[in-house]
Amino acid sequence: MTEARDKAVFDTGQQYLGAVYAKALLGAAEKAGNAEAVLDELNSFIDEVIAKVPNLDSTLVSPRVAVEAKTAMLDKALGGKISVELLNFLKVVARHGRFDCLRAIRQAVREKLNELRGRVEVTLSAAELPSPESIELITNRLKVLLGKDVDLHVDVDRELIGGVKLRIGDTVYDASVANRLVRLKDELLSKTGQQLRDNLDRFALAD
Amino acid sequence: MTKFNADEIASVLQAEIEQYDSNIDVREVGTVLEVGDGIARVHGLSGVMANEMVEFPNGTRGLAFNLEENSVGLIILGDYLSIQEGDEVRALGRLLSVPVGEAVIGRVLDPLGNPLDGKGPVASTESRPVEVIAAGVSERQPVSQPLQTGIKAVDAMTPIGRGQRELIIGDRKTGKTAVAIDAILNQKDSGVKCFYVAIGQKDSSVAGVIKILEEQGAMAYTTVIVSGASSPSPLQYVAPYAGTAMAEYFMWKGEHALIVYDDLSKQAVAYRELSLLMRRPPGREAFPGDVFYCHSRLLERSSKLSDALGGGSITSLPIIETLEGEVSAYIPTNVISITDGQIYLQPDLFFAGIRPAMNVGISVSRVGGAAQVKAMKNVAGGLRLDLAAFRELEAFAQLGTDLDAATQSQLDRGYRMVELLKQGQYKPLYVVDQILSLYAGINGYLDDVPVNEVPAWEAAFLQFMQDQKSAVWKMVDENKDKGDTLKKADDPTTQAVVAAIQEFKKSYKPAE
Repeated sequence: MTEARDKAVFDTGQQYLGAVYAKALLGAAEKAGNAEAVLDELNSFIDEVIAKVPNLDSTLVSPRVAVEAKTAMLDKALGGKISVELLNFLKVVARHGRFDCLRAIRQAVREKLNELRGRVEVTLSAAELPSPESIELITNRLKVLLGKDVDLHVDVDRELIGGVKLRIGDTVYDASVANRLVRLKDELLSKTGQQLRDNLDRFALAD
Repeated sequence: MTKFNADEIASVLQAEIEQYDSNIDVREVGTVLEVGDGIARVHGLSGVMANEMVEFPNGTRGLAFNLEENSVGLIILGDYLSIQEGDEVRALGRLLSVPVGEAVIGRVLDPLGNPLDGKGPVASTESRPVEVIAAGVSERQPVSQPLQTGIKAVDAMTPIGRGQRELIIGDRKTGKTAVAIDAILNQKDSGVKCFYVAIGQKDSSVAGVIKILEEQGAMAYTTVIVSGASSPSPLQYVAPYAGTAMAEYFMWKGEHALIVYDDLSKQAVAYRELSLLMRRPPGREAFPGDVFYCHSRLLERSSKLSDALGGGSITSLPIIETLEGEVSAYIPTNVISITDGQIYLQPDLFFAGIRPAMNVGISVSRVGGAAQVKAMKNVAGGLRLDLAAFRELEAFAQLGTDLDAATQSQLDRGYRMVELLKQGQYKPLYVVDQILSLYAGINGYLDDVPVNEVPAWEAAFLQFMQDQKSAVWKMVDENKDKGDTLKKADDPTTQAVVAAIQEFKKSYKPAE
């Protein structure tokens, strides 16, 4: 799955709310047995529906629109097109006025579902988009190394110049060319500087 | 101006590049949520531990101060202006440490060990962690060796021993730093390494102190650690601990160190600033609840180690500034209860010309005579009580009533002793000179000298003893640690000294 990670500003308040709502949604979805489908639908709601119709987003978020109006709008737009659990969930979110946290909720649902299914979320950053074969190769290799299922996200970052950077949780494994150049520079400067200080005669020109 | 051989440098660089072997860089990271005022809140860093060092993209270091559920609070040990929201922070997996060793002697450093004197990098091979747990009870021995400050009033009445913590407390401009600097100057040729930690001071004042130390040759055995008023509060908070880490290197080698914290009130204010920004609950006077621990864990590291561990020591002279003489405020009472005594300097004594402006009544050394040269103890043992009695009489004398001869003589003796205890700045006295001077005063040999001529008399007498009675001087110096020296009239040293004083008095003519 190739998708740009949400690099938006972190809001720990929304994150906490997102976690609470995600737990509720997943609980209902797991009971009905369609958790993955619900997540897919939520993704498409945010990335396709709301992205294409920005007015929908602002209306749902606005506190000036009555809850009944929002519920009616959701029914009209999505009734019958998405699973019952997700539709009810969106209505609950509207009732509590938490539509501004929807992206945080989606992120939390993704994380919690990965946790439930024993999957690890890994972000791969590279200077150019790797071929699908490379991505599959990397994913399989990681599955073997980590012993868990891997949910790989690929991110293109030209600043890396070359090589790859893997982020698993809060640990980064950096084998990018840019990072190696920086570390090479630091080490060169300190070692050469030390040598200069130790053997000044060798480096000074005889007058 | 040295010209450099570019080919040589290029060849070294080439060799380094060829040998360079890079492994994959593995690091724990977080993202900056907010930054400002010397602190940062970071999302991520889920494996970071308390007080672990972290690094920002611009190379500045920080410490993990608050570990919260959704974020980590960091204090930034440097410039925070170039750190931005969204920056990646990496954990370094180790605690903050500073360079230590002989290489720091004579240098002026910042709390992280970076040089500030322009004399090149600190070429030290070892480093010690800034925060350590102090030596345990079984690793110590009682304080028994004296640390001479060179100030008569201190060495006679509130003697300090090696391994003791003696607080210097007083209002602003009462001479607290002067007492500490005189103590440092007096450690010349004694083998004691000195450390002066300036916290929150004006840079101009610190420059003045460094100049005095250089002029008097004290920089040969002193290190100055500076975190001035304009430096970030995390650095001001860390400065005393960094200085203590440098001093501990010598203590654990079996040597002695003296460390001056100037001053801890400003360090407490810096700690309060950090804690309030980190949303830690404020307590009394808005200080955080653990401000006592902030000072106690610092001062407990000054100790005298047992002989099995080398017998080294760190003596500390913390300085606290009181406001309007209020010693019962929060921070002063905290530090008084931690230290082994205090030297209390008062502004009214200072302006009355009594400098050092020490209030003998409430100044105390809890180690006392155990850390005093025996001869000094014999001579000045009763001085404190005598001065206390004199102070009572002095108030009485102001009533203007006629006094009997005994009371009048006690008063006269008191005036002369007070005059004798005055001392010029940057003029520490060797302990033998102190003993001779005080012996003369306490035993009445100054009673016939006018009060305003006492300083001149003393200077001339000490010069006489060094020039013409050097044998007696040496006798006192050799016997000063013996229990009976100068105790009784029939002791040979006593007789020699009395004879010398009488000879001087005969020949003394006051200068016109």
